[in-house]
Amino acid sequence: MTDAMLVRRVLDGDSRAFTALVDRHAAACLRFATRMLGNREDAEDATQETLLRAYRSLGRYEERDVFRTWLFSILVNRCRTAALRRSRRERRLVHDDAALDTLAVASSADAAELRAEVARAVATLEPEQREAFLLKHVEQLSYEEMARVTGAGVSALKMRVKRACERMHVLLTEVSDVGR
Amino acid sequence: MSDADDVLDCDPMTPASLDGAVRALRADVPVRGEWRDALLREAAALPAPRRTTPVSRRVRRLGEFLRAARRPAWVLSPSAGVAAALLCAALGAGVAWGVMRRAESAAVPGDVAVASAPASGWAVPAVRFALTAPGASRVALVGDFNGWNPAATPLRASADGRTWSVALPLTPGRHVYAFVVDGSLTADPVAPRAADEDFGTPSSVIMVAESSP
Repeated sequence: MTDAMLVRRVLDGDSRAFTALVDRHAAACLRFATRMLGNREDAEDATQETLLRAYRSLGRYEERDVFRTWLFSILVNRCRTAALRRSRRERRLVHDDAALDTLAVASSADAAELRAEVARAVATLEPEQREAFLLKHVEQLSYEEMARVTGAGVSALKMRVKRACERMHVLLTEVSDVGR
Repeated sequence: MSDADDVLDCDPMTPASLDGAVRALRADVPVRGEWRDALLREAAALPAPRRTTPVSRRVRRLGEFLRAARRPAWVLSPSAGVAAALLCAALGAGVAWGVMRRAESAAVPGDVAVASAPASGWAVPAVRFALTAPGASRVALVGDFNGWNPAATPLRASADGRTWSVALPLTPGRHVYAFVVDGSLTADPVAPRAADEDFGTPSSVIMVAESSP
């Protein structure tokens, strides 16, 4: 069953269809929010706000839009708001061990070291570059979808991704050089 | 060639040097069962969503209208252009005369409300919308009060061409609106932004108070 069919079921009063939508999309939302905010707690809050806001607004979803893109347009705004809230609290982004743990893929020491360095490198990107890099290379959205999600133009987004890649490359190369 | 031009026509794959980093970033973040259950409980406590006409649909229609408006649908011959210009001038003079007559009979100096303040002398409060847009050639006001129709409420430029404004009666309550500056939607820089921006629409909110007797 497609996302659009599930939305129709929700609007017809079938609440289980919303559970299905949550189970399809919550993990991707949580991943983006965690990488964006660098903090599991803030990421869960932003994702919850996103899904509840989406639920309230399902009647305005248009089937010709890809549901995931529509959902990410809400999520990106929630993450921006959360980042703003956090900057007011003057919390640091990178020193959150829980966030680093969520990058876990393998259990070897090398993998743990890599994920920690990657998290630090991502955290040092400018927020706009981090957002564009994650949407492009992690969530694998097209530039047209990214434009709809972020409100930025395609060429500006390409530039942000390019700058982010260059910055990530420099940071991760410096780390590997120091490790030798 | 600028840096931006360099990347305009390319859609880069993940750079090889970042393969490992991207793989790590793509790893799943586990969804905690308690968090999922709490989310679904909160959703169940909300009113069931209903089908509505979304702002995004109205704005998309507006965008389609604006794009269509930019495309010339026909070409005017020089002689027909002169005739049309004369006709427009005559119509414009007539409209201006009518407006002046109406202004003489109805308008009181200073009766136009600024921002959300209600004005006296109107059946419903009049609100003055203004935007500083030097260099703009056409500015219009769109919102839920005029069906987001960019042809419905054009703004008039001040003598120096810097400030554009219009006053119109609005019913008391909350209204979402935006300006269309030379075909581009822009929010009011001095008003609160609308929550509907989650759908990518730059729009603002105005609260119109009940008119005092």
